[in-house]
Amino acid sequence: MRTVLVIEDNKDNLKIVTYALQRAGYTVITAKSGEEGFELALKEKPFFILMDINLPGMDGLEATKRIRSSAVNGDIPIIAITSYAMSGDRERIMEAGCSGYFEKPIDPISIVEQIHTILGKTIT
Amino acid sequence: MVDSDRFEKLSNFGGIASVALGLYLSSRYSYLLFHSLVEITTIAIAFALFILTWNTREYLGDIFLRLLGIGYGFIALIDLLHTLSYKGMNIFPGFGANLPTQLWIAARYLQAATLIGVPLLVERKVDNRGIFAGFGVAVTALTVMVYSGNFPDCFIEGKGLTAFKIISEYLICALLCVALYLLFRQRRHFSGRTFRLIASSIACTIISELSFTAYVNVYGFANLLGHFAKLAAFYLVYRAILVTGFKDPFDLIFRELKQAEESLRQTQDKLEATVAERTAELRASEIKFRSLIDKVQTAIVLHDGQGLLISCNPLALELLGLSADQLLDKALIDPDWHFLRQDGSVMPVTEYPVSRVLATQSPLRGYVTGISRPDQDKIIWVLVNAEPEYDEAGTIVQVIVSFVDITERKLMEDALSFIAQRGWLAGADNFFDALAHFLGDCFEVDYVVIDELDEDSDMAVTRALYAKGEIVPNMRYALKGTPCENVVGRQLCVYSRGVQQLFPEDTLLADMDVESYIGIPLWDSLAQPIGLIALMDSQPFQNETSAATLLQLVATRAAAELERARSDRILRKSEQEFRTLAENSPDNIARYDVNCRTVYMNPAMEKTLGCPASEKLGKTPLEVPRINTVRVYQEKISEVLASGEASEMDLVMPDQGQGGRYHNIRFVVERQEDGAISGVLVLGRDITERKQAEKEIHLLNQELERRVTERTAELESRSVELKDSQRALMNMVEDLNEKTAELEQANSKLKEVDQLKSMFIASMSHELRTPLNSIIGFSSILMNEWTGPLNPEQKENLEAVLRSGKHLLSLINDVIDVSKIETGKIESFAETFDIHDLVREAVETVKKDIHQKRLELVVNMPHQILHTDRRRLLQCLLNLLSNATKFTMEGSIDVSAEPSSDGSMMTITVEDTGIGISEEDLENLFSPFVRLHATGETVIPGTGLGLYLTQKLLKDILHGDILVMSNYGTGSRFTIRVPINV
Repeated sequence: MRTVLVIEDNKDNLKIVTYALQRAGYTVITAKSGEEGFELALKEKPFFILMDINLPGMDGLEATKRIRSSAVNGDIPIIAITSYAMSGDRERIMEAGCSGYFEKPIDPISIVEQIHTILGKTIT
Repeated sequence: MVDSDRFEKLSNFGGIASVALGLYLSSRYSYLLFHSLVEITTIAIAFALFILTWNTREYLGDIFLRLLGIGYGFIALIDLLHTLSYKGMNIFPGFGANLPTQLWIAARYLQAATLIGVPLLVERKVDNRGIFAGFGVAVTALTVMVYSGNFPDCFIEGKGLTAFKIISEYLICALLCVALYLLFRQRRHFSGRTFRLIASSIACTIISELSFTAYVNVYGFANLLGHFAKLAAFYLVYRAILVTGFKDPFDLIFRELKQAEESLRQTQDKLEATVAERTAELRASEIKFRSLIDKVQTAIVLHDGQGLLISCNPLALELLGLSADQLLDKALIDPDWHFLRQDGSVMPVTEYPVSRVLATQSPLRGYVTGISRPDQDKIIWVLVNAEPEYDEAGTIVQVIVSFVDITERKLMEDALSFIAQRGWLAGADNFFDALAHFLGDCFEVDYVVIDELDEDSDMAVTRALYAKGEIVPNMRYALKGTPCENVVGRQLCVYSRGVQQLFPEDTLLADMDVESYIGIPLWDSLAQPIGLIALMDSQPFQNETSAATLLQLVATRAAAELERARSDRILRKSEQEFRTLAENSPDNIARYDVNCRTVYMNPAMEKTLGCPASEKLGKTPLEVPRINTVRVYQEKISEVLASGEASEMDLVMPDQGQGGRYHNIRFVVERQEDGAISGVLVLGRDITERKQAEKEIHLLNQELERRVTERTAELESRSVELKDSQRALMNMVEDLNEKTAELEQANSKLKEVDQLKSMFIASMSHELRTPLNSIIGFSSILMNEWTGPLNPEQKENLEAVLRSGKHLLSLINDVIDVSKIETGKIESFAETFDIHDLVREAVETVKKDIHQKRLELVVNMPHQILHTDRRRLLQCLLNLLSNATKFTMEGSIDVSAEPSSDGSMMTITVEDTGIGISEEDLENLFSPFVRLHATGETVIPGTGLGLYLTQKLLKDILHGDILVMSNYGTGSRFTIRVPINV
C-alpha cells in the first residue's frame, strides 16, 4: 500500500481526490497548508504528492521549491493541481520543479489514470 | 729617378755585402785582423761623422745631428783605445784582455748616454761648445778611470767575463731600450727615414751588446756577431746624419737653385716677348692709325700755318675730285672746278675754310660748301670743320680741315622742307601732284605713282601719276600680279632690276618699259593700309637706299593727306545724307547758333512757320515775329543755351482758325569737340492727333478707375462676409475639438469599464468554478456508484446534474477565453507534438458520444510533427468534433489531415453528414452567441461561443484560419489551417 500526500485547502476537492486515490489502492494522507504539507512530505516520504498551487500562506510553488531543495525527499514526484483561470502560470509551475500538473475541475473518474500518465513520464 | 734610386740601393747593398764578406773572410784568417778592421772602420765612420758635423755645425739646425756627430767622435776615441789595447795588439803591455773590455764598456755607456740624450735634448737649444766640452770631460774621466785602475774589472783571464761586465751589458741594453722608447715618443721631430735609421742603429747596438754578454772567448763567434752588429749600428747612424743633415738639405738647396734659375729664365723670356709685343703693337697702332685716317668717312686735309697743303687722306681726294699732285699745286686744276656757296654761286678763295681760319685765327665749324666738279653733273655738298693748331706763342702752325659728304642729307632736308611748305600750301590733289613731281625730279626716275586703295583693296586709284617729267591723268588698276600688291599693307619693297621678269602678269610694267621698282606702303592712323607710293625707272637703281629713306620720310605725310582726303569725302557724303534726311523729314528741324540766330530750317519747319527759310536765316525767331507763341519758343532756346541741358516742351501753334495744333518740341544742345556749346538743334513734331488720343485714353482711364473703385468696394464687402464665415468655421472647429476631447474622455472611460468587465468576468468565473468542481466531482462519484448503487431514476437525475454542471463549466471556460482574447491577455505556449496523437486525443474525448449516436467515424490522419500551441489546437479541434457530433443525427464524421504542398501549413478537415448550415447563418457563423436554426424542433445545447472562440484562437494564437463549406440539410465541412511551425 503506497502512501500519497495530497495538499489541498478545499475540503470538497480533497474529498473527491481522496475517493479516487483510495479506490485505486493508495493510502492518502492530507495536508491543508503549504507548511504542513512540507513537513509531512519530509516525514512520510510519500510515493507522490498532489499539490494545490493556490494555498493560503505558503503557496504550492513555494512548498514545491522547498521540497525540491530538501536533502531527504528532493526527487519525489509532485503533481500540481491548478485552477483553469491560473493556467498562465504553467511555466512557473514547471520551473518550480513540479513533475506535471492538471487543471480543475478534477474528474474523479480519470484522475488516477492522468496521474499515472504523468508519473510514467517522470519515472521512465 | 726610380731607376737611379734602385740602382743606388742595389749598389749600396752590394757594397755593404762585400764589406761584410771581406770582414768575415778576414776573421777566418785572423780574428785580430778582423777586429782591428771592424773597429777601425767604425772609428773611421765616427771620425768622418765628427769632422763633417763639426765643420758644418753652424748650418746644422737639428741638435740631434750635432749631438750624434760630436758624441760618436768621442766614443770613437775610446773605441780607438779599445782597438789598440785589444788582445794580441801588444801596444799597452801588462793590461791583458781586461783593459779593452773595460774600455769597451766605458764606450758603450757613453754611447747609450748619447742615444738617450738625443731624444731628451731634441727640443732644447744646446751650444756646440757645451756638447764638445761635455763629451771631452766624459771621455777624459772614463779613460783616466780605466787606466788608473779605478774602473771595475771586466775580464779576468781564466775566469772570463766578470759579473760587472755582464750586468753592465744588460744595463746598457736597458738604457738603449729607454733611448729607443724616448726616441719613439719624440719621433715627430725626425723625418720618418731618420727615425727608422736611428732606431735601427739602436737595435743593432742592442744586438751587439747582447752578443757580447754571451762570449767566453774574445775571438769567439758571439764576439764576431757583436762586432758586425756594432759596425751596422755605426753605419746606420752615419746614414742617419748624412741623409738628414747633408744629403737631403743639399738636394733641397740644389732644387731651389734650379727653380730660381728656371724662373729667372722665364722672366727673361717674358720680358723679351713683351718687348716684341709692344713693338708689334706700336707698329700695328701706327698702321691702324694710318688706316683710320685713310678709311675714316671724313675727308681730312692738313695745311701749314701759311695755308699751304701738307697732306690729305684718300677720301678728301675722292670728294674733291682732285689728284694729290693737283692738290699740292704740282699739277693744274681744271678752271671749271669750284667751291660753291650754299646758294650755288661760286665761292671766292677768301671764303675757303682754311682762309677763313687763318683770317679769324679761330676754328670754323658746320660750314656748308658745295663742290662743283667738271667730271660730275651733280654738286657734292660737304659739311666742313676747320681746326687750327697753335704753337706755344699762339701762332697757328697747322690747320686741320675735315669734311663729310652731306649731299644725301641735303636731299632729305629738301624733301622735309618740301613736305613742310608745299603740304600747307597745296590742296589735296595738288599736293600729290607736287609730291610726285618732286620725287621724280629728286631721283631722276621715269615714273612716280601715288595710289589710294579702293574700298575693296583689290584695286588702286592713282592720286598722282608722274611720267617722264609730266603729270598725267589718273587711272584705276587691279593690284593683283603687280609689285604694288607686295607693297600694300606690307612693307617697303625694292626691286633694283629685272622687275618685269619678276611680275610677268603686270603688262603695265612692260608697256612702261620699267626695269627697277621701289614702293612703300601708306598706313592710316588706325594702322590700316590706305595706299602706296612707287618709283619706277627704265634703268636699274643706283641710289635705292637714299630713295627708300626719303620715301619713308614722305610716306607719313602722304598717308595723312590721303586719310584727310578720304575723311573729307566721307564727311561730305554724310553731310549730304544728313541734309537729305532733314529736308525730307515730316518733323520740323531747325538749328540755332549760340546767339539764337537761325542757321538752318527744313522744309517742314518752313511749312509750319509759313515762311521760307531765307527769311529766317541769320535772324532770331523773334526778329521775324509772326505769332505770339514764338516768344515762349525763343525763351526756351535761350534757357537751353544757358543751362546746357536738353529740354522739351509742348506748344500750341495757331492754325488758320482751326483751334491750333499741338507741337512737341525737343531742344538738343550741340557742342563742339572741346565741349563748348555751339548751338541748339530743335526737333518738333505735330502731336495734335496724339493729344486727342491721349484725351480719350484719359477719359477711358477715369471710367476704368471708377469701375475699379466699385469693384473694390464689392470685394471688400465680400471679404467681410468671408471673414464672418471663417469665424463661424473656427467656432465650429473649437466645438469639434471640445467634442473630441469629451469623446476621448468617454472612450478612455469605456476602456476602463471594458477592463473592469474583463476583470470581473475572470474573477467571477474563478469563483464559479470552485462550486462547479464540487458539483461535477461529487455527481461523478455518485454516478459511478462508488458510494453505493443507485436506482435508475436517481441515476437519471444525477446525470442531468452532471450534464448541467459540465455545460456550465464549458460556458464559463469559453467566457474566460473570450474575455482573455478580447483583452489581449491570452498567451501562447508552443510545444512540439505529433498531429496524429493530438487528433487521437480529441477523437477519444468524443468517441463515446459518437458511438452512442451510432455514427460512423473515419479518421485519416498521417504522422506529422507540429510546433505550436497544442492545447489551443486541441481545443479548436475538440470544438469542431463536438459540433459535428452534436449536429449529426446519422451518417458519418470524417476527420482527416494533410500538410500543404510546400510543407509550411497543416490542414485538418472535419466533415459531417449533419444538418448543415443555412446561408443566412453562414454569414454570422463566427460571431459570438450565435445559435443555429436547427431543422427540427430540438434545441441543441451550446454556449454560442464555440466557433467564435475557435476562429479567434486560430487567428490570434495559432496564426491560422478556418473555412467552412456547408449544404443545408446534408452536412458541413470545416477546414482549419495552421502553420506547422509557429
